[in-house]
Amino acid sequence: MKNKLLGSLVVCICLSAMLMACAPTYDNIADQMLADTQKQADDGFLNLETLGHTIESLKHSSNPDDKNSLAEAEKQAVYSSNMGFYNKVESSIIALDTRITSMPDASTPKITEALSQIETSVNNARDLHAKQNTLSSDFSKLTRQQLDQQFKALTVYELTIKNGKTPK
Amino acid sequence: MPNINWGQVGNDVKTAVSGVLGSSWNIVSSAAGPQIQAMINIAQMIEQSYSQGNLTKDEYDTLRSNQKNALEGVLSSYAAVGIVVAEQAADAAWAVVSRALQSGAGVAFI
Repeated sequence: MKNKLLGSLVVCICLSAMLMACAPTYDNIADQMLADTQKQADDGFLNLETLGHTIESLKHSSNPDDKNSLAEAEKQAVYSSNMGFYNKVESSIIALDTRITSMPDASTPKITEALSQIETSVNNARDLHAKQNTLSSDFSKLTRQQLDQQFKALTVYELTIKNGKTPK
Repeated sequence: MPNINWGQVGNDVKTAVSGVLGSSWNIVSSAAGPQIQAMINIAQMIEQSYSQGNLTKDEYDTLRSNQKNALEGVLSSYAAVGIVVAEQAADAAWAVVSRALQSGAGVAFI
């Protein structure tokens, strides 16, 4: 009888451990890394959007001061001036993916898939930037909005886990 | 820009997505519905911007490609939606948008 009880207890403990390993768990470091990555991407594309606006508004001006401002904006907007931005975002996505996959649970495949989609979007923008050398303000704005939606989905997922609820 | 009824496109996309997700749609619709609508709004802005000459052809193509990618990412983040199903739902959604753009009416649906 004692052996049976002991056996049942061991089974219960094992099952609980397995369930805990599978259930999505909140990771405050991953959450912060996610917020930081979104801010990096947002800041970078917002900067490109602003530079695009400046270039578009000054390119037909004959004012000498405007010409200097235009030259400066164009210098900052070219691909070579923004390679660091793309590298940082990609590096942040890889670091976040590494953090998440190092402690796998039920949410890992979902989050890594969503991160992979974000990485693809950023790389597509990067490839186009390299090809054209500059981006229009509208392209940068719309890319930022697309990425915001993607990050928002992940943030909602993380916050749901943080609040002790099961993600839908 | 084609005369597109974007309100109708939004409804058609939600119908297409719910058709692929099946019963999972009932679980995620309250959260996913507004996000799908936000993606439709961005699609509308892409079309407006391109028709106004504010985007190059390559920029337009990249944004459209990223739209499907983004929707797939949004849908796949839901626990109730499998990764392959999210891809199929995004394909279905974008088939609706593409058809609306081609027809210029925005009411076409499977």
